[in-house]
Amino acid sequence: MEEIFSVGKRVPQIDAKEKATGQAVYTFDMKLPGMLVGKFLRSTLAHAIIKKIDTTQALKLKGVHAIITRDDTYKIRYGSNSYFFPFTDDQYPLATDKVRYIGEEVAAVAADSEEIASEAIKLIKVEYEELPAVFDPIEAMKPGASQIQSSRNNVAVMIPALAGDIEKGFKESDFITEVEFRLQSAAHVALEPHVALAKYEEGKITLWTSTQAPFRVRENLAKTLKMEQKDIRVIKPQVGGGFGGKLEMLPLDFCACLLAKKTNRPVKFCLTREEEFIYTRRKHPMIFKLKAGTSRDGKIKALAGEVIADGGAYCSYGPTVVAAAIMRIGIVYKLENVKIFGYRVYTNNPISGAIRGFGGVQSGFAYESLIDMLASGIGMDPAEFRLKNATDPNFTAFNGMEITSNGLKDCIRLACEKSDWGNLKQNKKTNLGIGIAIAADVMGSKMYKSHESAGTVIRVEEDGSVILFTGAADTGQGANTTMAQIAAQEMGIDISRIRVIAADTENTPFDTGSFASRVTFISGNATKRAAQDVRKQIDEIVAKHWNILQERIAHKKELIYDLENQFNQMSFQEAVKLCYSFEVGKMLIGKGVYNPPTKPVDLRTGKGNVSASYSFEAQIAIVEVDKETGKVKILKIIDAHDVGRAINPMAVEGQIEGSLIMGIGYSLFEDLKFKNGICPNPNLFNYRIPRSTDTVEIETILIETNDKEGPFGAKGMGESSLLPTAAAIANAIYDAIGVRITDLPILPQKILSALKK
Amino acid sequence: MILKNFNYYRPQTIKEAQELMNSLESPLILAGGTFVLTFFKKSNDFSKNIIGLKNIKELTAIKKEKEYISIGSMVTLDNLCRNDFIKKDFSFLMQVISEVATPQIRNMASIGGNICSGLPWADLAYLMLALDAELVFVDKKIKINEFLDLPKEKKVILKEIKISLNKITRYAFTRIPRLNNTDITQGAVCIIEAGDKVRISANLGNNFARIFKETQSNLNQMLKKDQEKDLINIFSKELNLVQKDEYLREIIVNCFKKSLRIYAKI
Amino acid sequence: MQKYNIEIKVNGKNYELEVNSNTLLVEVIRDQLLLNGTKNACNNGECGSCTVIMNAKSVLSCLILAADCNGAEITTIEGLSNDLNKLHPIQEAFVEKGAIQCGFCTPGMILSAKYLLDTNPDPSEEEIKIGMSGNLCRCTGYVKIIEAVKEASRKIKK
Repeated sequence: MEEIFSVGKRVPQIDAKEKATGQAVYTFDMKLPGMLVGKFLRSTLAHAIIKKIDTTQALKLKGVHAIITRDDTYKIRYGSNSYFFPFTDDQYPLATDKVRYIGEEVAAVAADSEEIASEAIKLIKVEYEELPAVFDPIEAMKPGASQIQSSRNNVAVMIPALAGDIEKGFKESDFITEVEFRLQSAAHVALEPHVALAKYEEGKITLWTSTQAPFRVRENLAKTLKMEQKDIRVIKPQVGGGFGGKLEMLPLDFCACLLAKKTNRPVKFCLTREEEFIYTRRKHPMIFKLKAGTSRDGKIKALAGEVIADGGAYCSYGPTVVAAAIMRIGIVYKLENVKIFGYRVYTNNPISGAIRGFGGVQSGFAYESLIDMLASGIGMDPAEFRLKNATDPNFTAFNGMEITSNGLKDCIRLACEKSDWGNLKQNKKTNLGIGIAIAADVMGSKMYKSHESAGTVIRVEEDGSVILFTGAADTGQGANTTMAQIAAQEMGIDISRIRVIAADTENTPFDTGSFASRVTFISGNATKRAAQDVRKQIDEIVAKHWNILQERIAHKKELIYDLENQFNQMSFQEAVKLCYSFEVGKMLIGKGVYNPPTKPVDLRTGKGNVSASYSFEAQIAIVEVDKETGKVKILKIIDAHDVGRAINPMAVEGQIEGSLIMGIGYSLFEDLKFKNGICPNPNLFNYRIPRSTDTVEIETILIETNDKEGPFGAKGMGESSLLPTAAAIANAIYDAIGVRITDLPILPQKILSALKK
Repeated sequence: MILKNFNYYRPQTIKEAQELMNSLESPLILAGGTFVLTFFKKSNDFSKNIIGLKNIKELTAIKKEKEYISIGSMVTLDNLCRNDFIKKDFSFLMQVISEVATPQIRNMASIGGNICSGLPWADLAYLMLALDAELVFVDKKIKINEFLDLPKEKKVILKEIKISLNKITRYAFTRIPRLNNTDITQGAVCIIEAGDKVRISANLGNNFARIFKETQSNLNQMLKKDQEKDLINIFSKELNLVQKDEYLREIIVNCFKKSLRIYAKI
Repeated sequence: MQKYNIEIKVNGKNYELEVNSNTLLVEVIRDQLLLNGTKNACNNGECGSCTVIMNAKSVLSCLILAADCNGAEITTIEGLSNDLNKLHPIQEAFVEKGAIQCGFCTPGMILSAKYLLDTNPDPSEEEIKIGMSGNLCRCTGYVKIIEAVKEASRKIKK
């Protein structure tokens, strides 16, 4: 390998200064001349047929420019899992036949001001025929329950995970445990709400939107607006956080575009914090009914059960969330006998969808609590039990997931070492406990489209400055910086030469979006290839100039030299000058595309390989429980993480810390409640998220396994850090006070009442 | 979240403010604004006439008198903590207040607003109760315990809060925030010994009652005689009258126990 | 509708403005003065993204009536430094320490840090946590923000 000067360095985000001075522009900040304000009329009923919508009075209001309802749309359904689950395209951009949850978008207004738009909303009359509503997923699955969509028993999809012979597995078990876990809903709480600003000019729509996936937004806009993709330009400005909540086209995107087209004026929708909490997407509440068995010597023999997810009124990313919730276990443990069914159930609650962890937070809590119960059932140390069953490198899981590099066992060992596991387990202090949980995650998931491509184009300008065009959507995680670091390393230049133009469907190559921890791995590979391409073009010209073979050319930072003749060297700047000289006259443009090698998932068995590599981690929590107040104080969390290779250790730590603290919030107090389809706490006063006073000491250990497929060996890791957190905490609480918590959040009252039992 | 339109009055003196209070139709006072404005943003129905007190200089003074320290009702929580008199004679107030709310809220919220808001989590209310503070209104003076028992009446402006200069010789304070740190108080117990009196005040969890209005002058003796159990019984009795939630009862009693333990150690 | 005239000084510049009774300070800053660094992510006093420094105190501009700001001196993030080549030490520390991810909370965070360091130049870790507790961040988990405030304190003392 040549000199490493960019990859592996703690580089501040390339746009951090703009953010620090308040200059960074988010869709939230954007204004256009003549801009109108968009607002929704939302359903007041949880389940009803829409008989009639009357906008006559509202249209008469001064300052109202247009109102759209179902009749202004093509009535085309869309969804986010169209490729593998085409039948889950179940949502209209504006409610068409029925409303299926309280708050569903029924009509949209464009007006001169927010006040006028709000007034107009009040003047729209909707006639409904109310239908029975069902809010509990188990009730919804019963025969005779009110039918929300056309699927039988309100089960949108059923996903299996099957392997071996489950009966045999239980027969061979010396200890069997059966337990039910219940997980609550939660909100993303990105600081920037969902905002969409659209304009219509010369037959083309331009939409600025706070999104994680501009190309996916364009795809569904084109479908529902019946337009060609070339006639829709979706631009992602700075985005104030996503966490999975900004992955899809939402009604505000569609309505901003349609209203802009209708009024010929720019239209902007900006959701309020309350709308943000309830009417975007939320975490799937899940029930895990699990049964597992182990042999006396600590080998997991059988795992069976079912997972029921309250999906709310529409599918969104739900089918794959449920798939992810039951499939990940195969890359964590070597399992032989498995029989799990996952059900994604429709209810009349708001829509559940993607959120950081993608089903893995819920399943992480359930499975990793269960594993601890198995270990304690046979009297084995939980870390040792995990080491006995953890997967190895080059292992194919029962469900066909193909692991290549795998640092899981090193993660467990190092986390134990750093936390003084053995000592703390041996010499127990009163009310102090230590707990471990482990996890594995994908980097990309080919479950949404026939391909999962990313593309990068790199232009070297005449003055030697570089413009990098990537489809990857930086939503704050620092993707632009990572792309620039990779390109700088590959091209042998300083990062300051590079400006990144990202996530603009008209000007940058395609990219499926920022989700599934895929950007560093997939877009990073595309960027590396583009940089390689442009570097080779320069090398060719320089080699010719020195009259040597191209293989002899090598790069250091800002320098090109001949491996065999020390007198042959020139700066990158000189090389660019040479390329653009009269004699050569070669314009420098490099391109790179990458589509990870994977295998499709067979929906009948759940077998397939969705990701080209996998990342691993072990987390250990040390907690103290106050038996008087029931309060859990986390003293420290150690996170050992196989990140392949840290392109930017500072950004990697930032992902781990942010993810982990989010995990602590979900473990201890975050709870988006719903009662009869109504959310009682849709604000930051009653839905608390962690504050600076809730942080804990975090020790991160980065384990570099140098993945052969990853760019410079890197793996994805943005989501995985919150997968084991809740279980690590719950297992530590069990260690401290002997109380097993099976439902989140772990509120003090739960501890107190469990202590009484 | 839009703030609807209203008539806003910005009096310069207490007299002017009181006149407005008397003449306007259903007037409402805006002090620090940290509660009232959030409430207005959510509510469709609020007073059309709002009187802001921010321009009244007289209300922002902290004065040391012979036997009292007098705190203007518009003094912010932060300014209260940074005041030299308070730092010297009431350092515990500083410690306690710095634990509640956030820096920005402490910079905005006024001590008068906190007491008069009637919010169940208002921390100044029970702190002042333990200090046996006196509230000075335009037309009357009353002890804070009497005020807290009165039905809320918004017609008169609170001018200042008077606290006796009796030296605080011992104190203990325990507070339980609702969900996470910096969240609102859902239970708290404050014990203060000043002069020959010991006062115990408490926030009994999301309701307005704050107990131990009587001085527990025998507290020190009881603690010496290991009569902690009796104290807890008295406390629990009062608590059970007003708090029906079993969990809150439990943690507030534990709060009391913890405060007693801290108090006994000092 | 009654109008209120106010004179305010923002980032050293004087402005005479006409506002309504229900105009909030954050609206004046963002919509009239076009200083977009100040955000109003929750609009209800919970998140701290609208934090500005008014008369030497950090305050929430979404809970302050503009009509009450007559004579006020206000610093927004743009007033610390708007020059990418010459950042304020706190801005510098936030950049260097990786305390910025999506950046939406950053202006409010930095102003809270400024108020903290103005009133307590050498805060302990616990004091930093309390000092920053009025500002929500969903990206960083606060670890690097706390480090940045420590670093800023060192930089300013130099």
